[in-house]
Amino acid sequence: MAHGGTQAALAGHATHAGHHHEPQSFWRRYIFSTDHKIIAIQYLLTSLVMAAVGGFLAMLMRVQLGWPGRQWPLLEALMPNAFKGGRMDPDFYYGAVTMHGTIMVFFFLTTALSGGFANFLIPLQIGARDMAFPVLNMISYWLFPVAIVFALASFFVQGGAPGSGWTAYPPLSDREPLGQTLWLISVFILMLAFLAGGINYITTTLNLRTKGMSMSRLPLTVWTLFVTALVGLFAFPALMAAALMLIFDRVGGTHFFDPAGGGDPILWQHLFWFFGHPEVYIVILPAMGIVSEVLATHARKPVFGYRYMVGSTLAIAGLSFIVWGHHMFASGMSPTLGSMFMATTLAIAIPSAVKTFNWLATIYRSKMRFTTAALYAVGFVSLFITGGLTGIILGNPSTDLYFHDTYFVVGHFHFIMGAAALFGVFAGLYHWFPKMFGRMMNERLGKIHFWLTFLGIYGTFFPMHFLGTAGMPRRIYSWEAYQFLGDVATLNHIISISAFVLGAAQLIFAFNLFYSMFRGPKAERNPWQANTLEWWAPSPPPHGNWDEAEPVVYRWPYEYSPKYAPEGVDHIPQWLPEPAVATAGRDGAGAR
Amino acid sequence: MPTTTRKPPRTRHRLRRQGAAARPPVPVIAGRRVDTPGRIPPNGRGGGGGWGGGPGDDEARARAATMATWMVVAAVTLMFMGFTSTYVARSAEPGWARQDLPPLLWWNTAVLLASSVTMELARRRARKGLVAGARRALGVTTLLGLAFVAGQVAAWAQWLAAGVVASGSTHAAFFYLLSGVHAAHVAGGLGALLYGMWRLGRPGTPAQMAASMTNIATYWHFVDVLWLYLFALLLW
Repeated sequence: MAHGGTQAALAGHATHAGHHHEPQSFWRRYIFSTDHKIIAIQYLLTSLVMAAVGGFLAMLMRVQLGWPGRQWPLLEALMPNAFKGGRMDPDFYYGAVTMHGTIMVFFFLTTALSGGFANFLIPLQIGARDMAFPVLNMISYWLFPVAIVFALASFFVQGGAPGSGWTAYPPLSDREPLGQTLWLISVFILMLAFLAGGINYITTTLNLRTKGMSMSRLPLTVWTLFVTALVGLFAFPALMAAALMLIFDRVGGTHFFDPAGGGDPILWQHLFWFFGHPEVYIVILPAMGIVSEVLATHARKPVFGYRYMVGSTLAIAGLSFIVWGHHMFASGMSPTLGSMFMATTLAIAIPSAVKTFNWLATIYRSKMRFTTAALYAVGFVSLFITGGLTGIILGNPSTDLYFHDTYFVVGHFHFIMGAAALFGVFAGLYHWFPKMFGRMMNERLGKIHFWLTFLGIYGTFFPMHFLGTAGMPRRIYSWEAYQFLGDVATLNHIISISAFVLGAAQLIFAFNLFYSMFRGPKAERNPWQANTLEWWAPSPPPHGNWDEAEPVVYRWPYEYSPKYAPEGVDHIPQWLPEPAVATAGRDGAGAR
Repeated sequence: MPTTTRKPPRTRHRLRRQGAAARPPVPVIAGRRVDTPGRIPPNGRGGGGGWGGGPGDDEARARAATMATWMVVAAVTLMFMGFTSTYVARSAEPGWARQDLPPLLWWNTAVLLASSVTMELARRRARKGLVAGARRALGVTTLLGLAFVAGQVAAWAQWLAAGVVASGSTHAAFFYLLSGVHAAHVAGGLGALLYGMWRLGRPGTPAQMAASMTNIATYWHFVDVLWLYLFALLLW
């Protein structure tokens, strides 16, 4: 009944079917597509391939750090240049460090969340048929593989991949071989891609919302993706400017940053971290939005403190631009300036705590369905708390000076912008997979994947805090050369073994993903009984998203377990008109 | 579950005003909280989809295009703020030496200013529906834009001929960097001008033409003002 009722209620809206022709050829439909859903899947799959590359590099690093000095004949046979004489080449190690960080931050987490989920969810959740600029959207995606080619090409040019780390600090990055130039070009192109994408996300969210979808009714995923795009718009140009100047230094003989010619490397640090710290939130904010959505849906409870969730998102985004100096406490900053940056850094704990307590309140006394997506969302909260607490320690100049550039920092940021953001990606993938591909993922495999990943992450990154406390520097190739680090050998073994468990668990995910994509059981339109608009569309949604007219929105997106609802109804979707509410559930309308 | 009939909420009134299907008052469930959290404005601004034929679509697309133009302006401004902050910091260091800029830059500046005038002429003509006149003015703007880029290249050639290279001094390095990146943005603007000439040849209402021209003009005037700023910075 409700379906018919909904259609009747929509009768006053313009019907768009027929105004836009679905592309028929394979190339226009799947390769050079302008459909936001296809572009989202292109972004997601490409970024997952990059995650595999970045993860593989991490495994190689853990081989070296777990058993430094040991010979690996098998690896030598596979990669003779990287493992000369069976031992990892130090230059290759530092190239792996740089490319692992670059790939995971830029080519996986940022692109999966801001490229993949933003593309898929924004038009569907606001009731639009596509992005505001579909062709620009396609260009945004295709710049991404171009950037990948430049980045990966650095492995194959003379001198290999750059060894200056993902922060590319001069003067080291001024002196690195050709690979560093390719790295800079790659990052510049990627920033262009992100800007093109971000312009689409912002304009689409502000202009193409369907009837009734006020900003105060936006799902939290759209809110966070929208704010993330705004953060990117203000942050990416700083890195683009810095990258251009460094390219000039390297190929034009200028000395913007190179101290050998009178340049100032600290200027690079200012520009890099003006971009770099907001980048942390470019990665984590969308994950926060996904987790809020997944928790409410699977806990069958309204998101606690919706307005505060939106406010804290805006507060985090704003504060992210005035904290960059905390990355430079050890660069000779004046104590007064350091205190100021400490205050702004610690202030971020307030909106972050608001979010955390709201998630806990959302799941408190809920009827949580522990699906794989829900497990990943709960796991995200755990990782975010752990990583956030160590952030407070690093936000203080007095303690940061001790922990700076040690494994304590590595443990901290891997919890927050590595593992927590990764859990956001997984929560989103398991949650929206049925909508993306019209099939269900295997829940049993998903849960095995979750537990191995969760334990693997804690086993890998938690002990790193102890390594840092013991004084083990980050980006170190042969820590065993330092006598005072003799006691950390066991910890390094444990970390490496945990990392291998973590890496192996992802093979289960890869199998589940591709098997379910083609062979998984057919998904219903709304398998999780969720309230947001995308679940009103068929699974997978057709070209143009909506069969006939766009949906109309009648309420906020978190109307779960309402006390007023009839018996057996635990959710009232956004698209359901009020006459249907009274009878929702009796004919499956609410679950449609 | 008790139910009551009550006056339809504000949501319904707004929807009706905006052309949604009118519906009679309906039985609703007491104690419901469909608008949680409270005081939500009932309707979004959405025009109803990413493409299609409705007037709402055109309006939404025009708004989106204007917004996108301003975002490009914002992003480019921020990138040049990055350059400027480095310039200011470096110029305060000991050993900073400013060199005399090529005199040709004054002529180039005049050419760019003239192009802004013709751009404005094109925009106003498009708004009045004078398509042919607008295309002519856009053509002149394109030629002036090309002349500016050629003039900048000639200025670099003059400096290079005089032995002033980017690696020679930081001021020279900034000149080549700032004018080069700016010229690249002008080249992007030339692409927009060509698109504008093509757009004026396509069917459309004067309002659509004017909206398109306004966005192109916004960007063109922006690169003009940006150059004035950069020129002043390099002279400083």
